[in-house]
Order: sequence, then C-alpha cells, then structure tokens
Amino acid sequence: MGLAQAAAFALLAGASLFMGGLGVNAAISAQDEVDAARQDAAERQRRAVGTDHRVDEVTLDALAAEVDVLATNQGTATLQADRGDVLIDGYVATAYITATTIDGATSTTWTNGAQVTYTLDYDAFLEEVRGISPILILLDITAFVPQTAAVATDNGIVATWRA
Amino acid sequence: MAGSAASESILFIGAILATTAVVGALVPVIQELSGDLRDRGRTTGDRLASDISIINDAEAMATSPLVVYVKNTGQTSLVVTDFTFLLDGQVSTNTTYDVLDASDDTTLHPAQVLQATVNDLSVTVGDHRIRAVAGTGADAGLTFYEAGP
Repeated sequence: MGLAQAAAFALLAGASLFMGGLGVNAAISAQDEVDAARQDAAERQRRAVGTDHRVDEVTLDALAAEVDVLATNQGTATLQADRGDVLIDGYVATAYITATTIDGATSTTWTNGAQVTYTLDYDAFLEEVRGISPILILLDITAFVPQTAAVATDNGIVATWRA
Repeated sequence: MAGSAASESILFIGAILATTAVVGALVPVIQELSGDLRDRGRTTGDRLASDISIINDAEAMATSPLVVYVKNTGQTSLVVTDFTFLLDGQVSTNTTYDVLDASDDTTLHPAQVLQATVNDLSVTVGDHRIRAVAGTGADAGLTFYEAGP
C-alpha cells in the first residue's frame, strides 16, 4: 500500500515538474521575444528623437537630365544614406537616385555634420513617374525645375526644401 | 502475506495507470498552452518590432487620386494586403499597391516604400488627415492641406 502510494506520488510529482517546466520555458521564451522587441522599439525611439536633417540645395543641370539634392545630417542619430528616400514635387524618386556621400559619411554611416548628395536621373523620373516626355523638357527646361524636394531618412523622418 | 503482496501490486499498477491517464490528458493541454504563450510572445514582439512612417511631402501631395507613401521603418516585413488606409476617418476599400523598386508587391520589407493609391476617396479643398495601419497594428498618420487645382 505504501509503495503504491509512494510510486503514484513520485510519478505525479515528476509529471507536474515536467509540465511546469514546459510552461516556464514557454513563458521565458515569450518574455525574451518581447524584451528584444521592446529594446528595439526603444532604440528606434531614441534614433527618431536624435534625427534632424536638412535639405541644403537642389540643383538642376543645364540639360535637365540630372538633379542633385544635397542634404546634411544635423542631428545626433547616425543615419543610413543608402536607406533614405527622395521625393521630388511630391513623388518618390528613390528608384532613380544614386547616393554619394561626402564629408566623411559612408552610405551606411551618415553621421552628424556629414553631407550626402542624392543624384536623380531626372529624365527617367519625369518620363516614368510623371509621364512627361524628355523632348518637352528640352523645349522648356524652366517649366520642369523641381519646386519641392524632400529627403526621408531611413527611420522615416522627412525634411523638405522649397524653391 | 501473499494476498497482501498481490493487492499491493494491483494497487501499484492501478496507481501507475491512473497517473499515466492523468498525465496523458494534461500534457497535450499544457503543450498547447505553452505554444499559445510562445505565439503570444512572438506576436507581441512582432507588433513592437514593426513600425511604419508616411513619408509624403505634406505640401506636395498627389491627391487626384490620393497617393500615400508608406515606409517600413521597423524590423519586420509587412504583408501589403493587410494595410488599411483611412482618409478623415473613412476606410478606403479600393486601394492599389506598389512596392517601389521591388518586383514583389505583396511584402513590404524593412526600408522599402509602399506606394498606395486610394482610388475611392476624393480629397476636397481643406485640411485632411490620412492614416495608414499595418496588419501588425503599427500605424502612421499625416495631416495635409489640399489647396485645390
């Protein structure tokens, strides 16, 4: 009688421990996921607060084939130039952009005070995004001078420039 | 003496069988609960890791039709068809999507930009607010003024 009770008790205790272990393991891994995501969200918030940039200058070349957008990082957050986006007259032109980093910046490390030039293939942009023929551009270049340019950083914060 | 040993054996086997039955019934339940707990953690993690921003130039919006640019600024990929767009609180039921500079228009990976064209809601002269909500619950808004033609 005593042996049967002891065996049953031991089995029940073992099973309880096993099930408890499963639950604790699941709780720990769930908490780990949440903690990692929370840290990531806090880091994004910190970067967003430290992000401050400006668009200094927008220049169109003589044949209206290229537009240069010069931007400066004036915040404390380090940005990624190659993950930024450029909007010309309200349209995202990122597919037609090449980022050239200057003043010590690299495409992935755009630090405070450093500048980046986004060079836009304006012919291709106007033709595909705005549906404007390059011939029309050549006929009246001044009509196609960009009126606004905006640079959105890799964390989605936008700075604008107006003609 | 022999009878006592036999009855103890019967009780012992009975106890093992009963314990096995109880454990057999409880383990799947506990496993399911553990799985649910893990899934909940993953879902919460995904929600925290996902983030979006509307990157339109508020003073140069394409409004006829309304074009909204949403950038994935989080760490997780988002399902494009799970997005919801609201203009002044009204849900759009006819929005077309294009993930810019990508061949796959179904998934918005981190750092990519989604071009959403809202076909069924018109933008009148005045102040408006557009809001984008991803399937994970991440949302972003933008207020703009439509000056008219």
